[in-house]
Parts: sequence; C-alpha cells; structure tokens
Amino acid sequence: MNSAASSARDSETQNEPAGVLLDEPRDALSRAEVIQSSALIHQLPTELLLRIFTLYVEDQHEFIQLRRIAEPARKVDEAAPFTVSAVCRRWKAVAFSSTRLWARPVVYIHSNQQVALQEQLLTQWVERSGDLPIDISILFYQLVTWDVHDSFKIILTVAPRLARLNLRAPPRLTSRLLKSLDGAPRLQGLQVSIADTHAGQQFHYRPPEVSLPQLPALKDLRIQNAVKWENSAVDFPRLVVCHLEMAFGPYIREVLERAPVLQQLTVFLHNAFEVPPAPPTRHSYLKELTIEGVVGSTNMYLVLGHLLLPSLERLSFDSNGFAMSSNIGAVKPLIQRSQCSLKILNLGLPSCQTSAEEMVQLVESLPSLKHLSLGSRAYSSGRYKWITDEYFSRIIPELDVLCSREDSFLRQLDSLDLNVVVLGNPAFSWEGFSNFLKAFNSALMRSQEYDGSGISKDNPLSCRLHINLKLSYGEGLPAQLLVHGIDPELLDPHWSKYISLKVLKHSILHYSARIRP
Amino acid sequence: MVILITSDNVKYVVEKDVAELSVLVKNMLEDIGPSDEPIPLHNVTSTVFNKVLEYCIYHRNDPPPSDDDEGCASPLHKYLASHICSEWDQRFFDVDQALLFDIILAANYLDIKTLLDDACKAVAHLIQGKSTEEIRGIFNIVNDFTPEEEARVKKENVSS
Repeated sequence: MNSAASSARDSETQNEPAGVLLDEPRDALSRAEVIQSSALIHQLPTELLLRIFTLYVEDQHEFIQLRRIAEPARKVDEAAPFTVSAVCRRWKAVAFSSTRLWARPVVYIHSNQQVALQEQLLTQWVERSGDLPIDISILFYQLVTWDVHDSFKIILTVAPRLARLNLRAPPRLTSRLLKSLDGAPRLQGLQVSIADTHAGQQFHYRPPEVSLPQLPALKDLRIQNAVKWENSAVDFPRLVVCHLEMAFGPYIREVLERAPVLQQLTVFLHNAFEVPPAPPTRHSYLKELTIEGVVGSTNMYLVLGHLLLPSLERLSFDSNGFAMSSNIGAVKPLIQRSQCSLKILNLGLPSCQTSAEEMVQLVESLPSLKHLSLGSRAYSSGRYKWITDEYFSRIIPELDVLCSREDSFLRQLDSLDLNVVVLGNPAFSWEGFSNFLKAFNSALMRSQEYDGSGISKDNPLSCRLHINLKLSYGEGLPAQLLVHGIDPELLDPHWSKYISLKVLKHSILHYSARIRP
Repeated sequence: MVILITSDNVKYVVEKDVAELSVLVKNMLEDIGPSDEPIPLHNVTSTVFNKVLEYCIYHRNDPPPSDDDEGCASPLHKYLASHICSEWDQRFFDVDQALLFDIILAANYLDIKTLLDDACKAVAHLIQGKSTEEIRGIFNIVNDFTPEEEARVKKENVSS
C-alpha cells in the first residue's frame, strides 16, 4: 500500500478539479506528515483526502437544502469546509488547496444575533472559492424578525459569477438582494422563499410578492411566494424548469408567455378562483405540467381553458386533499385542442368530484397514454380521499381479466400506480380495500402462472402492465388486513418486475415486494 | 476468466466482467489482448483484494455510474440516489479504519469509481456532525497548530 500511497501523492495535483489555487507551500504538508505519522488517515494522498472532504461538504450542503425538515434530530455541520480545515495543519492545507470545496457556501441564520457573524462567514467563504461559479444559500429561520435590507452586500460583489442562489430571507432583504441580481450573467438557478413571520397566522394569508430581476441565463426558477407580474417586463429566455408554490391562476399564462423554451411547469395554486377568462396561450415546448391545489377550490376549465400545449407529454393534478371543481372534464378538451400525445397522467383529485367511470373514459380517450397514476402521491396528511370503494370496484374486474382480455382499459398502459394513503378515516371501507388486495394478489399469482406456462412477452394476451400499489399508512391500519390480503411470499424482495407492492408507513419504506412475470 | 496476482503473490481466478469493473485491469486486458498471462496487481495485498473482490461480485450487475449533472432529475432525487446505501454496503464498510483506508487506496489504484466513492462516503460519514475536537479523536490526529495558528483558525471559523 505504501507504494500506492506514494505514487498517488506524486500525482496528487494532476487530477485536481478545475479551480485550484495551489498556493499552500508543499513543505507545510511534509512537516505535518511527520507529526501526524500515527494517524492512519494520513496514509491517504491529498487527492483522496480532498475527495472525502468534498463528499462530506456536499452531503452537508444537500442535507441543509433538502432534508433538514425531514430529519430534525440529525446534527448538521453548517460550515463544513471550515470544520475540516480546523482539524490540523495538513487538513487545513488540503482544504485551502481547493477552491471547489468552498464554492457552495450556506449560511443559516437562527437568530437576530447571528446575522453579522453569518455575513462575515459568508464573505470569507466566498473569498476562498477563487473565481469559480458559486452556489450560495442564505437561509433565515422562519421566525427571525431581523430585516435590515443592507446586509449581505457580498451578493452584489459576487453577482457576476453567481451560478445558483437559494434565498430564504425576510421581505425587505429579499427585495434588495433580488434587485442587486438584475442582469447577473451566469445565474442559472434561483430559489426564493420569503421568511415571513406572519405566514400561517391568518386564514386568508396572502404571501408577500416577489419582484423578479432580469436574469438572462436562468434555467431553473423556484419561488415559494407570490410574484409581482404587473408592470414587469421581465422575461426568461432560457428558463427550462419552473416551480411556483404560491401561485394564482393567471401565473400559468404569465410564465408561459415570458419563458418561450420552458419544459416543466409546476404550480401550487393558492387561490385559483381568481382566474379570469384569457386569450389563447400557445406554448410549443412545454412537456410537463403539474397543478396542485393547496388552498381554495379551483375551476380547472378556467385554468386550462386558454392553453394550447402541442408538446405536452405529462400532466399531473394533485389537489392535496382539497376539492377541485370541474376538474377532470377539462383535461380532455386540453388534449384535443393541443393535439398533443399525452403519455403520463397523474390524477390525485378527490373522488367526490370525479367518478371512476369518468376516469376510465378519460383514459380510453387518450390512445397515446402509457402511464397512469391514481391517488395523491403525498402522504403527510390525512385529508386524501381519492381512492374509494367505487374505484376499487371499478378496477377489481379489470385486474380479473387483465391477463386474458384485450378490452380491459388497463391493457393500453405500460404502468399503473395506485397510491393509497390511509391516515385518519379512510374514504373507503376496509372490506373494499381487502377485496382489492385479494384481486391484486390473484393478478400477481396469475402473472406468475403465465410466466410458468411459457407464454412469451410477445403474446398479445400476456401481461405486460406494471402495477405499483403503494400503501402509505399511519398507526390506524389493522395489522390483520395485510396478513389476510397479501401472500407473505410477495414480500420476497428478490422477485421482480411487472406487478409490485410497496407498503409504506408514513414516509418510511417498510416492505418492497415485487413479483416476477 | 482472468488471472490476477496480488502483491503478496496470491493468485485469483476472476470472471472477466467482475475483473473489468477495475478500469486498470480492463485497460491492461485490452493492451495484452487474448492471453492466459496473469495480471500483477503490485499495490494491492490479498487481504485488501478479498474485500475489493467481494464488493465487485456483489455490484457486478449495477448500472454504470452517471456523471450527468445536467440531467432532468430533481435535486432531491439526485440526493437520494447518491445517498441510499444498502444494508449490505453498510455492513461491507463496517471495518476498522486501517482496512477502510486500504480499500480506498486499492480502489484508487485499480480505478473502481463506485468503490472509491462509497468508501470515501463511509469515511465522510465518520466525520458527520462531529466537532473539530471529536474528529481529531476519531482519527487519532494531533492538533499541530501553534497557539497563534489555532487562534487564527478559530477567528476564521466565525460560526464555531
């Protein structure tokens, strides 16, 4: 191993990623190695130690950005590059030798007292990133009341090389920082969420509005607040992905008209009854449209009625448990008017608005459709009432004939996802659900019999549909239901393909059973 | 089959698809062409190679790693994809530090990217959530900063 170590050390700087300063004297490393000879980790050459540091720093960064709320108990290192550089002289030299290690600064402000310190930290962090494109996150804890607008001036300085910015800050500071970004030539990703202490305190809460700057390189935009479109000439010539989490009905048209090459649009409709009639809006690039209704009822005819989307391939509705009015009927005209080839349809709407027969008719009217997902994919609340006995009753006979008849509406599909959430009082009876599991179980068994009988995949009557049943439940699920409804053999994780069952408790995957064809 | 000889002269007969998970071995096989000649692995002992081989056999059918950072997957999807680690992998890397570092060196020498990344993540996991002092304790690292340097480091790390 020693020769491997020395040979790797010889080439330690040759494989270094772009953006290395290499301003640390090499003899500093040598002196440190003598003192540290008892530490096994110092066997590793600089390039591998740096690789470990990079993975560690990236892990902390992703955790802070994406999973902090889901795992509040996990300790997180908010200044990871500083931590590793403070261990010993060698680690400091290695950490300081790479600008890449410092190119994704995150500052997290828990209290008013921390603002000045975190601003100082960010400034030092940015300085060590050299000239690299930089990805900055400034995250205020929601209840921090501090709102001095002239902090974090470093953003103005660094704007020319800013590649991504994740900003969760109070209103005045957000407004000032966004204004300072106007024209930033390299900014490709922008995520904005105003940390508003009034959020959630009022039933008719209206989130603060964000005025967006002109960003010529922007590809990915995620806004968790209202957007001020009036009197704004801003456009997004390169925008590909857009998520608007506090959107109103007209936002769809505003975005489509300002982002000519947009491919994915997700809007969480906040109060869609405000949708006024609008002239037709044609967008030639949009492939994926997701509409979720967070608060209020939504007239989908008004939301979709003016759209022409010829490239649309994926359409998703998820009401998150709230009622959307006149919903499913608006899909068919959109598809016909757009003359698109819809391949994926996700319907997470309440059953009180959409009958099972309407769903079947819709699927049958979409010959290009290959993937159908029914039921809300979210499982953080007990409000979801999409899957009912009516749906079970409609799908059970289809499962019965799935492997033997061509006229089943399921046969045109490549995959069917059924998302059954059981939290609180379910919208279906346990008897209905148990019957569905038995039909599902029978279909699984028959699919194996077909495999055993030698029927090839080319046989038009053989099963090629992949069914995923995801069962998410809280504490109230009768344990006996699983015992009686599912053959224990189906929980063998080595079986695979075509029909699968995933049982989830809250967000944690407990079992994954897949059945061979 | 491919014959590999470790630095302590232990001979291994390995299926070609497993051996070729190492880019080093794959390139050597391409260079020498069809041959029964054993391939020497000068920088890997049999103790370490046993572990490397165990990993390669288990992961032989995995899809190749993607370097595509511009893909359409969401950041969360990318994060989960890069962090979901099987129970088998967790057990595999539950070894003493000496062996873990030797696995890293061997993976680097043999050019097996997935093993190198997974082993480096295992070391990064040891640092996870630890203070500077705790990290020194875990790896038996001596604090070799002078008092002046230490004061400067603490000043630089204003958040600590």
